[in-house]
Amino acid sequence: MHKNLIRLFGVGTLLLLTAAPAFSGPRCNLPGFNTNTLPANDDGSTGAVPIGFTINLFGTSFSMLFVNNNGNVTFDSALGTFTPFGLTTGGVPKILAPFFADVDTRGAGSGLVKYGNDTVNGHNAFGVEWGSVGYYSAQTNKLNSFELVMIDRSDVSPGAFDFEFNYDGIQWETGGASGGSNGPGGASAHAGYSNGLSGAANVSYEFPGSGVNGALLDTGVNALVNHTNVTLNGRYLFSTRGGNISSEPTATPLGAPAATTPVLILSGLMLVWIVVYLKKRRTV
Amino acid sequence: MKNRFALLLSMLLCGALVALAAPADGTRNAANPSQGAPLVLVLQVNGAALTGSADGAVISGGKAASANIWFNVVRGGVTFSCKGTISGNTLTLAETRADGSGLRNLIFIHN
Repeated sequence: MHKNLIRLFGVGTLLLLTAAPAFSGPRCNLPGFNTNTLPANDDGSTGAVPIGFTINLFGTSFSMLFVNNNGNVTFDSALGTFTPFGLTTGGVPKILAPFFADVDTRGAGSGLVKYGNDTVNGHNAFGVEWGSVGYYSAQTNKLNSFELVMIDRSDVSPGAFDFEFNYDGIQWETGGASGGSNGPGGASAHAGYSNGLSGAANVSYEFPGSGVNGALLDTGVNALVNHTNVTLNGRYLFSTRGGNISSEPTATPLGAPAATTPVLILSGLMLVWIVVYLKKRRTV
Repeated sequence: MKNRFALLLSMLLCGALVALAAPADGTRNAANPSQGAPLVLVLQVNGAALTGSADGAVISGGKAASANIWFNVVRGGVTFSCKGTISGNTLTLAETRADGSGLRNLIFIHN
């Protein structure tokens, strides 16, 4: 009887393990980050929305920003550009771009862009969620899920903040109007940040694989979900102190993908079950 | 009597053809002309394919899906990517260079 139960549990666990997604979700997706919604649109933006705290970014203080549908936030004006430009060349807006590409949330089955405030480790935070968003033109056969989190660290110094780019899944890289076909190809996505200035004044960063066909996709050589500069694949943390972004990511893959929470729970349960079973056997 | 019937029939046929024509089809003029932007768009939809010209320059890679159209066009040696939405007789077109720079929004009105 016990043997059969053990076998049944083992088979069930194995099935659940194989059904579980391979990676945990680095997105925080906190409730407060989903407070406000940018209605279904293509190339749309919010008006200036409050960050909830003041940040010093590239030497300028900002307490408002524009959430742009196409995978980025800007600080001086909204950005409707659908074909992503390179972030390191200068002459662009001040921008934080977790995934600058032609997001289109009009298709049935696409998530919407959401944003708002919550707390991260006791610090005020502003988050933008691009959860399961489609691509132009209203395509939803492939979806991307990523997030920007800005964390107030004015406890360290005035205007200090951290920001995270978090990626749960990147299945498409280019909209149809940017030369993409069914998700890949064409002028593919760029991810990173820029102070917008040209020449020696330029401060910017792009993830390796930006603008390279296929590179940032989950299956790509520079897959955003398979690298990190912290300890969780798909998460990239930048610290901004005194207006300077001090920790550029040396995005490296972790040795093994992080296990999902359900997998950990199931493994724990199985261990407990085996211990209980062995104890009972000894007492019999 | 026969002539009247034929006239009525041809009018109905014309009406049906107009109704069946894709919303993108036809010639449009710029409502907000801006420097370097095309003034005249001629578009023709065939299934999901979109063909036509912008100020005489032949468009490429054109596609149409319901009220959305997108295409590339080379003008003055520069490749532009365009995407637009048709609402009534108005086509709202966003245009950038192929590298994503120089975004501008254009409006075209159907003739």
